[in-house]
Amino acid sequence: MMDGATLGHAGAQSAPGLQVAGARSPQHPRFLRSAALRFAAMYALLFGLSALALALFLWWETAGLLDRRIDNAIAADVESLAQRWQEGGLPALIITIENRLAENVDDNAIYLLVDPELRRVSGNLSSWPTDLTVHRVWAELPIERAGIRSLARVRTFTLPGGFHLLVGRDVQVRAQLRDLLTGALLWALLVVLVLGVAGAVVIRGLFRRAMANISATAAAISAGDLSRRVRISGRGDEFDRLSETINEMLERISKLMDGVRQVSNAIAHDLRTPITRARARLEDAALHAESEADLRAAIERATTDLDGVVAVFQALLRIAEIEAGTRRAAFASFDAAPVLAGLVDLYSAAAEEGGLTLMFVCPDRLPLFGDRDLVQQAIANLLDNALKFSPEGSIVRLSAAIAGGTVTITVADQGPGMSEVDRARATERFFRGEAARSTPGAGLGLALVQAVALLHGGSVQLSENAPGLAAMLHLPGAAEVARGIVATADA
Amino acid sequence: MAGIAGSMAILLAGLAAPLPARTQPAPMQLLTDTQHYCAELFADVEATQNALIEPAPPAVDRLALEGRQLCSLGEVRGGVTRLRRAMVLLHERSGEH
Repeated sequence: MMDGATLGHAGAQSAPGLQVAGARSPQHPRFLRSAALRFAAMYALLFGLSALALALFLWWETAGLLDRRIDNAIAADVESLAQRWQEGGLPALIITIENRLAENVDDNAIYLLVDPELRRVSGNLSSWPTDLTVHRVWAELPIERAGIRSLARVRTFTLPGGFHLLVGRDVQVRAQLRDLLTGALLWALLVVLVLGVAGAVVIRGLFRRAMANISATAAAISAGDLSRRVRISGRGDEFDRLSETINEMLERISKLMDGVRQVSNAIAHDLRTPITRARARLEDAALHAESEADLRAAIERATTDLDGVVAVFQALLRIAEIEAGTRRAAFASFDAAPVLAGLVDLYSAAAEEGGLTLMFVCPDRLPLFGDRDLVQQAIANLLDNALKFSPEGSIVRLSAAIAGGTVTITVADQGPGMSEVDRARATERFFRGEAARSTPGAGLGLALVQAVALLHGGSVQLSENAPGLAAMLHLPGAAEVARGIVATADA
Repeated sequence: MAGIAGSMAILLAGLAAPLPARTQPAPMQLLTDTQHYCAELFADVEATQNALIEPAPPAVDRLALEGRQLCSLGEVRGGVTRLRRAMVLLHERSGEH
């Protein structure tokens, strides 16, 4: 037979394709799986993309603007020359070209007028460029000026009669600007790289530092120190909120574990007595019973004791089932008014027997959304306690009211009541107040009422009735629950 | 991050490249960058100045002289630019555009 450790190992091996929880992926190195690195890389990527977008915009605004201006100037020049051709024919066009060259103070104009055989007629180019077809409209032409190689932006235009006109501008300035911009942007690229890497390192460090605090606390708790809590930086940021949530969770776990310890102690203490008593009776009967009747009596008394033990366990299991929340799936809308009326009918006989007056005040309808049986049992427990602790001649009052979407069911008695300290602990399992020590019971009644209230999203409140105790069960009304469901669905 | 750097470098290299390497025609010389044109332009400036009814602006003589000197010293572009300025002043004076 395999022990737990072997069984666990075999279980992992016997499920091919199923990865054991917590196992690491063997495909990627550890540093690539770092969330901090992903954040840092994302920051660097966004930084780089922003810088690239800015660089492209700058380029478009500067070199691009210059390009557009040059093209517009050339197009305007071509248009006016074409108009001169129309007005004065070839002679007028030749004079205009020569005049424009003579007045080209910017020293950037390029003109060439050729006949249908591509022979030069006018302009400052000696011949039609060899790699430029007459049909190509816009082109870039390499030129050399004072020994410096440059570039010209040219446009060709076919005139009536087969003549071809080439108009252009020396774009050396644009080329110089482009070189300047290129150099600047390359340096800027280097700066972007450095800043991006530096920023990514800082982001990664911040992220790791923030997570290290939480990781260290989790490791300490795993090692057994349940008192550790995550340190709050005080900045109120997302990490602080995460830390606060984790601390709340740890507090709750701590309280639950204390509760389990308490219940275990209470079970061991409170159930040991009836079991021991039953054993003693059976042992005594076995040794000293003189007749079958004596034996039967001893067995019946022991059976009664053990029935009490079973009842306690059943109550504990019921509370556990309620706290597990599985019964929430069977919630339905119902009217609690007839439930209360039925309980009053059920307990009126017991009240009369005890010399008590049972009063009942309730609206015609009490719409609730929940488990009808659990609500009935919770109110029954409250009535049980009230009748048990009320002196003869007093009044036990069962009332209900709806206010602000909350249904409040109150059971008030005129008994000894409970101190404020006892009221604070009354809903703990196995707790019994001073006045209850002489009465039968296991101290689980109010614990069950509390569990039912929490399951329905409500609460239990105990207060002074002067004299006596008032136990109030607050439950959200059916309309309130419906609004909550709609709000959750919309979110 | 390496991908972004590579993209930017390729973009900037593309913007900086003047012409494809496989089509490299010989660069063309401008006829207006020659001593011959400088001399022609100086002669045009003188002829235009002589044709004026009113006296030419004082800067014209200076610009024409400077232009011819620069051209003779081999600074053709600078010389042609001064001669062009003189021509613009003359045309403004004569009302021709």
